[in-house]
Amino acid sequence: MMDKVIIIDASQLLTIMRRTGVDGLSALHKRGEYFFFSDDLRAELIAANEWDSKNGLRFQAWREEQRVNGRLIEMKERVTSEEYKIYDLGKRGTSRGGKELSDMSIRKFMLQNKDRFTFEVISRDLELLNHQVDDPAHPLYGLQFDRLSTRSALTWLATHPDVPHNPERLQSLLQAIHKGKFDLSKDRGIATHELERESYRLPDTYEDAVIERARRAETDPRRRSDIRGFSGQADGQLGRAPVDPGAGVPFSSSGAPLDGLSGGQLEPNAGINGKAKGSLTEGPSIGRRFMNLARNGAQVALLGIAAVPVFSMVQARAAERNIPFDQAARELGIEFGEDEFKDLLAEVGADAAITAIPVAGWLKKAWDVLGNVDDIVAVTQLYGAAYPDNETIQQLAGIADAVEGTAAFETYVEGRDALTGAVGGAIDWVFSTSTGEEEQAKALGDLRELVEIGGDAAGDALKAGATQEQVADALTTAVQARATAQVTSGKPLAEEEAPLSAPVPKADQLSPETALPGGGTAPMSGVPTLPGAQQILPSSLELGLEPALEPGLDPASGPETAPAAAGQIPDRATASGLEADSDRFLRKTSYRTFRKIGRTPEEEQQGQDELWEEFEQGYLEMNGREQAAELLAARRFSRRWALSDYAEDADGLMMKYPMERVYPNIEEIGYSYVDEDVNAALSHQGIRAKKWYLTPNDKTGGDWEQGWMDEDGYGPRMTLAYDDEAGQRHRLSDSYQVNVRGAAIKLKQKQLKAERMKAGQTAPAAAAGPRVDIPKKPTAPLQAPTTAQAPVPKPKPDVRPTV
Amino acid sequence: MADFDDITGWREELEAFEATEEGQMFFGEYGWGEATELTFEQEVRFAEELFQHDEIHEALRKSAKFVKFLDDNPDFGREDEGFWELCPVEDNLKVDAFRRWYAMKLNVALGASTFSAGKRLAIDVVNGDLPSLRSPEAEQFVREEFSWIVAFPKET
Repeated sequence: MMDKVIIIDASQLLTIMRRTGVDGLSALHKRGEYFFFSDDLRAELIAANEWDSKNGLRFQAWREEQRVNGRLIEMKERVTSEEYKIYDLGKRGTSRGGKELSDMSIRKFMLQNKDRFTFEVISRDLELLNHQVDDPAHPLYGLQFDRLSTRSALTWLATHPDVPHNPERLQSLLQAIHKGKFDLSKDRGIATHELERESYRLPDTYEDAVIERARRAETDPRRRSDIRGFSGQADGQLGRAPVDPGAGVPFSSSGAPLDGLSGGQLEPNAGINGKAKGSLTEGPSIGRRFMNLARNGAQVALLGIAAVPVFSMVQARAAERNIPFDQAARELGIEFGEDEFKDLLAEVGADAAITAIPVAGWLKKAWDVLGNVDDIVAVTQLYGAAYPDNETIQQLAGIADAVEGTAAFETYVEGRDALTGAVGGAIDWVFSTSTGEEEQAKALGDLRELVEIGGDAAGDALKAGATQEQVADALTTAVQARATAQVTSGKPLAEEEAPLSAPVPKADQLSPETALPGGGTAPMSGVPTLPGAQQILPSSLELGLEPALEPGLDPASGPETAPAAAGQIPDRATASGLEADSDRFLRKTSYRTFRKIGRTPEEEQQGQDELWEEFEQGYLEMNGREQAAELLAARRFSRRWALSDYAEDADGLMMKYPMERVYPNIEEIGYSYVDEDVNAALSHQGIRAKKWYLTPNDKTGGDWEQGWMDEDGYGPRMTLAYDDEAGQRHRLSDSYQVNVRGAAIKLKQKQLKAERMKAGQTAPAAAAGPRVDIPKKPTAPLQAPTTAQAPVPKPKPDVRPTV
Repeated sequence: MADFDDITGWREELEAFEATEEGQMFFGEYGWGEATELTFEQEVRFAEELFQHDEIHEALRKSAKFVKFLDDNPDFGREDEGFWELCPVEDNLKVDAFRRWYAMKLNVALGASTFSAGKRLAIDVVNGDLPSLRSPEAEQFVREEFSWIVAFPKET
């Protein structure tokens, strides 16, 4: 598979910068592997004076960072006048265009590199995106590239988790998009390009956008796996330094964007316009269900979600019988008119503009609402009646029935509504990880079975004090294991295990209130819960899903000896050539279990204060929506605070500025470069360390706030300590810095070498292809190879902006 | 050391050089990729040169005015009406061409952002946002905004 180059039309670069900052550029960059830059593009920015503006200066610094990190592809030579006849598609010199040099350089680059890369062109230029070449003999004929209109790009970025917006900027952006400011051709009524691969939902309000953004972060598979595996990593991709966080480290393609609700790709003919099959025969029944919800005082959010299929149903009836909407509603026993329905739909963002969200996505949203469990069940059952042929919805309806009918849940001390949240969490996971409807329905079926079969055991666990998140996690793990087991063994899961039948842990192992040594209260109690920061259940509650023990593991050591995922626990015990001892295999999985915040009472207080500050800020930003504010607060808080595998005495300790927060997690190699760096440094010093530690100190945070690395490419200063062979701890330095840039360069060189070898084995390298510069920080001005020659007449440089 | 007292014919000289194979190498393969990290002093000298010649100074003045406008109106961009009417395209290109010629005369390999700091200093001085090119404020500004490409060698 070829790497993708992201190409932004010169005329749109600063537009995107102004609206979304360098974070927006970085997010777009991550849709591919490389970013295209050319001298013609630069010349156009110069001509427009954008290059020297404040945003232009930021772009310059960003561009240099991409170059240093080997993620920039530059075309240094400008398009010559002789090449115009190839690369100009007729717009040059017309009233619609200027000199078209930047556009021509884009076409030239793509043509010359079509066998090496794929491309995504981001533009507001209809001609550039149309690429109208009808002559089969033309070199540009049939050139393939993905298209993304500026409007789509900005819509996508408006809710991108890596792109922070303040309310003013986001509101202004949404307003401008809604007004058609970035449409391809407002006069011709063309908003986006017909050949774009994806379409993106445009939030109506700032509040919608922030919620959507939070949901995207939650459902993004890149984050999701981290969230589930390790709370400290929950926002690894979200962790931001003040200077462009996303840039500066290699990354892989993010793939197709996801619909924020379902985690699946947007589907045509779905959502509010998707016809509720069977609605005409089930109409009166559905109408009664809807009215019961309304009469019972269901939350507006739930009522709005319920209104999606009902509105569709009433519309269909009205159309079929050629009667007014309100009359059709009354015939179905519904006392709501069309206007009331529209108000309800608007409450949940499901107005007429929303057409692309799958109906199952709406239903899933009901499970995200912290509401009365009976109402949620009722909404789900309503959907079940409305969409009898939709397997996903049927499975959700089955889950609702199971939840409703499981007696053990009645006694859950946290309340039955919390249980809904737990099941909702598991549903959320299914939606975010399933790749197709069939897989989604299958996973939901598994979940339904788990709730039905294992109800009693789960009930016991709930009585024992398991939190909502713990139950969700347990259910999710079980569903995941079922899928894995069936893939690997081909046997039905029922034969493999007995879900939710494993021994139930004691209450004091589960409750955060009693988790601390000495029975003290966990500091996080009473404050918003951090996503993923909750205690991870001991393996005994992981539904009998202990992984197979590797050779050498002591079965008697119990479930807590299960090794962590590869690459997550650094092999730091082998520093300086020491053989790994059995301690390596006896590491507790509870290492990643949050037990305490802060290393000192002061730091603990600081953590709580910061979390509350974030919550207060989020509360204001979210106009008092507590749930959304909690989510925001936790995310922002976890940009700086996390558990650490590297710090001293860090078992279960959430600390500020741990290594995993202040050093970039480089795609493909993770933090292995940190291990290599420290191991090499220790070896160089002749130190034989049994184990070493990188712990934040009073310099770390200040360094990180200035950027991922200093001018020389080294990361924030940390305290390096190690245990010698006798177990004696030594503090080596309080200013240890890992060479981040060096690691990126090394990786890049390795990739290039592999690329070259691959190219040599498969096909000759493109002779005219661009040179990918190996990052290097020059220290002195270069000298030109020759001095200037005698003047020779030549046409004036042809540099004009696209108009 | 190049003599910049009389720059008559600078543009023709630049165009002629660009047309040669050496010129194409100078501004192409050799001038890109490896960004040239100049010193603060080199950037200031370039900025001073922009003020020395009436033709360039006038272009700088018009260019600077529009940069200020863009900075003061961050929501204003190409998608807005009147952008190109306000934008002094020829003046912008003239100042940039002078940058290329200046680099050529000094044999300084030209990266995309070479002399960007000097030019921005000149712009801010024209707009009254900095008192002078060699003021402490100017140095502070370059330290803050251009440390990624401008060096400040330690005094001996």
